[in-house]
Amino acid sequence: MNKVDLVLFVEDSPVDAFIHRKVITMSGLSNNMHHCTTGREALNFLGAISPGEPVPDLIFLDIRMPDLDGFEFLEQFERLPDRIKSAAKIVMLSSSIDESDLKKARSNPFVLAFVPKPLTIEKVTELFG
Amino acid sequence: MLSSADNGGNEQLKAAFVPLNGTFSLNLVHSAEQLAAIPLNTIRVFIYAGSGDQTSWQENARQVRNANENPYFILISDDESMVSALTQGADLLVRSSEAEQLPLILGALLKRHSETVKKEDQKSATTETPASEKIDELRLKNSELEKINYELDRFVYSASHDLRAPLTSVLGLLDLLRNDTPAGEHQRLIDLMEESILKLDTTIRDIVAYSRNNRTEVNIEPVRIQPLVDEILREIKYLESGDVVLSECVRAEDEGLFLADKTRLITILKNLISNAIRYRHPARRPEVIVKVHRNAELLNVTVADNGLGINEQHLGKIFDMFYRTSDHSTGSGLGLYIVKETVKKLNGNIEVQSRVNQGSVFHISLPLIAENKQRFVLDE
Repeated sequence: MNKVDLVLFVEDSPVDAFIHRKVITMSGLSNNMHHCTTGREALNFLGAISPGEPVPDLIFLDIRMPDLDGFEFLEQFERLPDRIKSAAKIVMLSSSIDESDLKKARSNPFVLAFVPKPLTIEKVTELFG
Repeated sequence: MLSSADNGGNEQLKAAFVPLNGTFSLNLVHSAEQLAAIPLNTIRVFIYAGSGDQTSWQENARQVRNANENPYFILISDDESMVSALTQGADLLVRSSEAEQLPLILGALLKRHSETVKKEDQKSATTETPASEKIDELRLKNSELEKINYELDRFVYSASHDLRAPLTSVLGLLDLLRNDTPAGEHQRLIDLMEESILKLDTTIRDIVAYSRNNRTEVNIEPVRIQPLVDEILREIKYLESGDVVLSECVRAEDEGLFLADKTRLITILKNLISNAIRYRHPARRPEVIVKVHRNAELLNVTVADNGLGINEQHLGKIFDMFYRTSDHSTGSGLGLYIVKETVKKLNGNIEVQSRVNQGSVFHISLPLIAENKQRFVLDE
């Protein structure tokens, strides 16, 4: 497993957040995680990282969230400083089976992969093992 | 129609109502013998205004029921012990101070009856409708179908995600269970699975309620608020109310009898009361007050709570389909949408006022149906 230093997951469902946390730990992907419950919270978190402080290398991003959804987050993510944008790879997660959602995710340059929920140890190993 | 009494209280009744279009007549009886003289199978509404004697009304009731399909039983009594009559076959208990509402109630009942008769007649009718009318009918049906299809598309898109989300959660939890999660954590996983499944169930129930509201006709009947609230509290017991005792937290202010679409009113109140409990403030005991107030034009219903309140930025969207302010809830996101649609179906209006951390008040106003304003005149 190629370990990752810091993982950020943006997830509004407490049950799914629990699952993500367990999967990331048990797969050995990372021991360092930060959880934001809304897109807005995540943008604030990223924007507040000062130079020299650790930047997330991996972001698990839910699509369907109240307030700012996953795609709206991506739009605003583009406007963040380069040191933040270039460090992070984004994996979109969703229980959405909508074709247009899939296409939109895959065509975004910052998105590494679209993974249908649930996140499992197997899927993490497949992506990063 | 038939009324039975062994005291003079009848005079007030007699002055209050009479035949409606000659299709119904009023018979006043004062004794069992007089009752026996009437063809019992013609009785549609049986009003008993006797003294608080359970056996005598029940005896009359048995006689009438044996001869008739399903008459509507109204008891007029101030005796509190008569309340048990409601569980023994009586449909409505009216206090003597409320007797003036009988004309309205009878009007609603008779309207319902004549509509049923009309429907049966239509089924056996063989008259031809002119072609132009048929075309208009088809056009109307067509635009209704287009609207339904459009709503269905929107609905399927939203519902598919909201129905799948709890399932993907359960799949994720099952996968963790398979992957050697320590036994001590199993209980947690199982609790979370149950939570997701209950949430899915709530969503499905809400969808059914939504569909039912769309399709059934408006049906007005006499209602009291307290029994309605009692019924709702029984139904929402399964809610995550924690250590909250629902009957102590939800209070109804009873203004007596009024006319409304009972099923739809239950749907509206059930959703508002559930939300008030779900979004209660963590630091204090939830308090929900349901008030119904009738004035000349409107039936005003308010549901007030002391919960978390709703942020101003969300206020405009809370009635949207599947809109949720956060995922920290067991709700489906359909509740307020259903409330809005139900109120719309009754030609009413709904407004909300709210302060974050203080609570919310929902105001619903329903126009009284035209029949409510009908006044009966004494014929003799």
